Amino acid sequence: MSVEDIKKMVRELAAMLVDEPDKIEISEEQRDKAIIVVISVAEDDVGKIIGKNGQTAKALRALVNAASARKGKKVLLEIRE
Amino acid sequence: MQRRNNSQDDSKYVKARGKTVEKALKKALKKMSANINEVEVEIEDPGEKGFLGILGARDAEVKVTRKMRNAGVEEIANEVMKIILDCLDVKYRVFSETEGDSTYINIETVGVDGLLIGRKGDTLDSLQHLVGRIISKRLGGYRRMTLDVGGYLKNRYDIIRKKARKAAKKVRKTGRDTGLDPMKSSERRIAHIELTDEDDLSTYTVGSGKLRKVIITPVKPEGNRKKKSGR
Repeated sequence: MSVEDIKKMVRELAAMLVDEPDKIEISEEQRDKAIIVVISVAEDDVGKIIGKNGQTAKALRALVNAASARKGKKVLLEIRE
Repeated sequence: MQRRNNSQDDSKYVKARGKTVEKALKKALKKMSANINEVEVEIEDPGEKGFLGILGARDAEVKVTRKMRNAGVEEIANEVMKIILDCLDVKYRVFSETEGDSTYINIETVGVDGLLIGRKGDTLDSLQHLVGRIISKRLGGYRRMTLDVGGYLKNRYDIIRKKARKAAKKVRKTGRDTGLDPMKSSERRIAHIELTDEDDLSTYTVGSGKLRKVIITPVKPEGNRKKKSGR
């Protein structure tokens, strides 16, 4: 249930960063004890989600981390091209 | 430290007089080196043509005010923070103020300040980066904005300023270089700025990565400036 909140947050934040918010796709995978939230965006938007030196990706992960700590679950963010 | 030279005049408003409102406006815009789209115009005095252009004639006066460069910054920050804090399901309050072209935004939450700040403010840096990216995308350019949580940065910067002052005192007393603790770039900036007005001291940075730190050094009187020895 709470993973849905995190996915919603990631989708909404990503939508504000990219040029083509309609092409954002978010899915979820289970890996060992962690839940992986997978985001993919339009090809031309990948750079915007990753940012210079991966700064934007790092920021998104930090927020997913903070949210998952609050929800008591291990959630990781993966950006897939 | 480098200072950017802004060609634009930053003063808040300019008043000008002229025979007609149009002429006064033209003058005011020239004074401000702004274009009509960048300002708001108020007519202070429409002027009076007078009788035969002499008797009772009065110049028109206009006041032009530069539109706030940072308009919209607060709203966008609010929007982003709402997304994040709704996910965390917490109540929060936003306080913000704009001074000149920089906006300070402080968010106070019920119970998750620490979570949003992170170790040494790392999560807060992430928030700042994200909000900054979104602001520059929406507004079409960078805006100076500081995002704070629970006044963390304000406190932190106060501590850094105090430490810089204390170290400056030591440099003056001993005549030797003194280093501050290693800090991140945003924090070193505060230390550099704190001491820019002290003509007898200068500051620079040494080290790399997480070990970069500010060194405060006495400025030798003109003429016999000693060369730094590499040690």
